[in-house]
Amino acid sequence: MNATKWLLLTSISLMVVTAAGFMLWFGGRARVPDPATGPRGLASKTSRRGHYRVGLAPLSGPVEVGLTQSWVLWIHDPNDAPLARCKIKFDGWMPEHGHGLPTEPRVTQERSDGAYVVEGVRLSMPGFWELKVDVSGCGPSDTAIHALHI
Amino acid sequence: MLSTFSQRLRMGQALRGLAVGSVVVAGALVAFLVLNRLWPTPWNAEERRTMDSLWLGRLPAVPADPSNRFADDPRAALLGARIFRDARFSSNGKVACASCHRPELAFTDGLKLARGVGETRRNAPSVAPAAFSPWFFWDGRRDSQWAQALSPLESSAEHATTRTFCAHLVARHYREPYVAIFGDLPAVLGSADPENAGPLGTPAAQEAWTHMSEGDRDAINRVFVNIGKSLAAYERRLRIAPSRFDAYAEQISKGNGFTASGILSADEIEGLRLFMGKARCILCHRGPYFSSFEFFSLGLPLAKGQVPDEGRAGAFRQLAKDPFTCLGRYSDAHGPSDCAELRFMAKDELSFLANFKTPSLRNVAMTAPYMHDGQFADLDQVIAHYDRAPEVPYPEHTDLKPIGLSAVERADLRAFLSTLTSKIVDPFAPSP
Repeated sequence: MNATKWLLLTSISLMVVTAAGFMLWFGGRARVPDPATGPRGLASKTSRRGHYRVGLAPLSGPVEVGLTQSWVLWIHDPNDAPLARCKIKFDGWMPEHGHGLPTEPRVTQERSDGAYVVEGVRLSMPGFWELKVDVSGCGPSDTAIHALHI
Repeated sequence: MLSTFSQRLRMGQALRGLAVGSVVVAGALVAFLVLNRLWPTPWNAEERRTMDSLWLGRLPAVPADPSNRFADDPRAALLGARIFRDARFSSNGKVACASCHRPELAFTDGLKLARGVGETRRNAPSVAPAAFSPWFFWDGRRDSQWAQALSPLESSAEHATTRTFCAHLVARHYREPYVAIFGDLPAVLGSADPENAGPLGTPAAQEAWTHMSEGDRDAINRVFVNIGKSLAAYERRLRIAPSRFDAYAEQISKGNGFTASGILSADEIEGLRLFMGKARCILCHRGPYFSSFEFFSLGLPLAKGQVPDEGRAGAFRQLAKDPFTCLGRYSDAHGPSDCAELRFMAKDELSFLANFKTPSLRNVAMTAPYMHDGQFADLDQVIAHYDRAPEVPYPEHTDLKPIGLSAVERADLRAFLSTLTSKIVDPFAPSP
């Protein structure tokens, strides 16, 4: 009888200990931080002279430093109507470092929903970026600058 | 009471011994696991996150090279490994790829300027992490590992061979493996055909090249390109083994403070903190290969009489006329969408004047001398340069800013850099 009791006690304690060990071990693994993820999109911004509202976001996933990504741009007039056939120049600049993008992004597609796809955007360094969108062709030339901390 | 106790002793002595033993061992295990978790580490959450992004466990798979359909063909890798060590691929029979990329020096040569048949104007970089970079050479003048591998073969200061010379060597010494991988060798490689012809060789070789038909030149180019694709298939398979830093960062990322302690010294830990923080090294030397592979200007001083090196700014003109790019006829890319790096490459020469590619810091302690022209003999000089970030007349813009490190901090940084030393695993290394 006593032997059975000891056996039971041992089994339970071993089970508890094993479970605790597993929880700690895998709990510790789950705590490994994910790679830094940036903002999904940036709020739309009025251009310098007020002719356009410009919104932008990566085509898929978060902004990632060092990865060549496609972005989507929305160009709207001040009444928030989407504008088609705009000529767009997209550029980036790090004012604290005095250098721009390692790539020359280009608009490669104007989508039926009025959005423009810009390919070849790579932010080469973490930090503060100014993303500059020059708009022309669908109205007066104007520029919107988005600020991005990544 | 006493009699009950002795009765118990008699009845289950062996079993009880086992049980007590198990409980003690299990208790010790739990105590260790708890202690390991609770053991203080000198890192805050942000530092832990940054450190986690640097160790080899976070290394993605080697990126695909759509311009080389033999990139992951083990037969091509084996052929490439043999050619890599074959000094017959040089005009004097003494220079192999492995002459400047010596495995025992982390695939560098220990010289200020790389030396083949003659002396080049740049320091030989390591080969091991190259497959992760979109650009090759210090100035990124080639956009694939296979195109990179071809360049030294034709350079008068390196192997100083010609395209037909290399193709003839393949026909003579590697015919069987070549044909098995790439198909028949062209008929132009008959014994009567020119031994030395190529667009970049001696005047006589260039002359011979112009006398060949366009079809023959194309056929020779294809053999030449396949040599490069084999070399790339081999180089892609070089792996960097975990270093002491990786062992440390792995334990920290798992939350095992106690297991981590003792892997790095106090100086090395302080150096790591500076690397990720005050010294800002991490801005460019990031990710598991400690490089962004981007181009920057470091305001490096010019020695008296040294000709300024335009670096990245000079690469755009070369890429524009290069037949061996991702967009060229010898590429296996399925279309422009496979060649995003080249299509969207920034090419403003002024912005990239005297810019050079950020090298990996893996095995950096083994790869002296440093910088694109080997101007710094040791890591102390490198760190001192970054710390001072001197103004230089050329180029006007530099990407460095003075840091203001103390002598102790500079020594700590150097100590940390030495923790990145590890073996390079070469599955095709000849057996000793």
